[in-house]
Amino acid sequence: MGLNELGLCQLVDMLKAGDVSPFEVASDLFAAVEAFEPNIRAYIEFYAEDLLEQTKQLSSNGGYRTKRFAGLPIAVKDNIVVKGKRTTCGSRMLADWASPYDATVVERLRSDGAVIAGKTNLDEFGMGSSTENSAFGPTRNPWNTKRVPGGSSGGSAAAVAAGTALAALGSDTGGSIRQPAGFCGVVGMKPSYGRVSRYGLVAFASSLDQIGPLTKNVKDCALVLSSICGWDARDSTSLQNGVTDFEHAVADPPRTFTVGVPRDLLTMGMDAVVEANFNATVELLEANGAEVAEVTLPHSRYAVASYYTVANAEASSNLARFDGVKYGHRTGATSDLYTLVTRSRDEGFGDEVKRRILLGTYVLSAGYYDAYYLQAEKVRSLITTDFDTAFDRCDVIMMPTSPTPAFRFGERTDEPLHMYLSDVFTIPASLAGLPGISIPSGTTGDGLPLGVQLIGPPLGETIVLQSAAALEQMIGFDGKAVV
Amino acid sequence: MSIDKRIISHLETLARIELTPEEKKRLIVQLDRIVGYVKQLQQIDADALGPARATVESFPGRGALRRDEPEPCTDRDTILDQAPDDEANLFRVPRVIER
Repeated sequence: MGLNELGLCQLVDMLKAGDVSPFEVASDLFAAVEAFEPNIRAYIEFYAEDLLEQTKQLSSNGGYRTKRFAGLPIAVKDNIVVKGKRTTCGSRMLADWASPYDATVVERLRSDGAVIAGKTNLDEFGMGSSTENSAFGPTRNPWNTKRVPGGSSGGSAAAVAAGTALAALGSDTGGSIRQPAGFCGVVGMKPSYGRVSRYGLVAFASSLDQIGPLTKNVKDCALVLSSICGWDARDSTSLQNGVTDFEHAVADPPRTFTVGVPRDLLTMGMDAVVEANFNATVELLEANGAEVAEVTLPHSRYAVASYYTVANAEASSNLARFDGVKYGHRTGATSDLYTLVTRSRDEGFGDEVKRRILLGTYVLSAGYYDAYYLQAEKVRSLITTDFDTAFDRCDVIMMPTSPTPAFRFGERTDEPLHMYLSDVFTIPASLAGLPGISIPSGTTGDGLPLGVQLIGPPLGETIVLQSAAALEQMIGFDGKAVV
Repeated sequence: MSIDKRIISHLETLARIELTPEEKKRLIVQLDRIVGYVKQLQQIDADALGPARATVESFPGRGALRRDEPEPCTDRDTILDQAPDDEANLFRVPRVIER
């Protein structure tokens, strides 16, 4: 077994004890990438040379041993900028664009002794639920390569599942960390809105976007979150909140906790195998002494409609910056500025991005703003208020991560609305800005992983991680991708 | 039907995207279906809702601003290096003013 198959925390302990060197870990990781990457294609770019050279240097003296990550490689989604490296966002628009600066999360990982391993694949600008919308081709699910890995952080989830990343960062706007984590049998967390700085994350929908970890287990997730969280002067939405140590909180969980189950939302429709797995998970919690309470989220049935109005409105505004003038793709010779802009945008953006920009433009345009955008924001308030009420009765809320296991390639590409509905259980927490985690909860008869999601109150990362760690232990998931 | 030829052309102009005729045809059908779906929000009585509130405004630690002090930022050359075309410290585009 290669060192790349071990968990982050386990490797940190081994590195700190001097049992292995960062170079040895990086070498095993590189070997796994060479073996599996041609089949999985989780990376847009893997920094093999940098990684081997940097870890060799680190290994020559013991300084790395005092750092949180002790010289371990971590991958980042390719909408997070790394200085001097390409950041494509999975788009032709930015195919050749290299960033002149590092994202705050990249700075923080590095100052904690991590080495950036490479950039993972994604749906273009984070818009999609399958990575089929990447201009550089789809990523395949390591559990079954005929299936999608989910999205938009599908590359990050697939890499962790395949053992070609020890841990990875993703970004989540409506479920883009949690849904692929569920599809790939790994842990994925979207922190509270404002918990992690977005400085250096290419914006999709600014009232929703949040960076978070994808890891092999909950403890590793807490380790990564502890590194990347905290106030940042360069992101005006970042929160000044004292808690930054989730690692130790996870090691010391509460004896019991109450899990809310929103049965009303679960009538929205899901595969029988998902429903059976979810009900078994509820029973498992009860059998292990957790309290289970019925809660209701009556307006969350409108969450997908609210989300695709709000998120696309924001996307249409954020993506207005791509004009073929300042950076990114520019069309061939034209004689006027208007055509230069409109043609550059048509050539640079893929189908889904154009659909969303046009839809966002529609809901914000004169005559439609009140009926669509404003109404969607009001419904969003109601969804948030429902959560406030529900948390009077429980510590965390549990629901399936997705209504189905990973679907086949091409199954939903012709019907965008069908694709959007795969986010029905992840979107409510996104709209309310709440922390949510997906952990593996079992597999289907034909060996596809399933996930459950735990959602906490605002800035409730500690209780979310603690209850996730407790549930993880109860489930004892030992499935493994079969790349 | 919410989205038709006329509306899609208007959106093209507003969003500054030039679509091919095939794209237009496909998008009319797809956008119309999505708009039809999000329209369900209008069934909810808006007057009963009161004003929308920003979800995260009440989060603890919100609104912490940085000190209003000048700091160095990315220099001009680095920014212009990103541009598809530049000249004499400016972005270069086709002529926009008639001689």
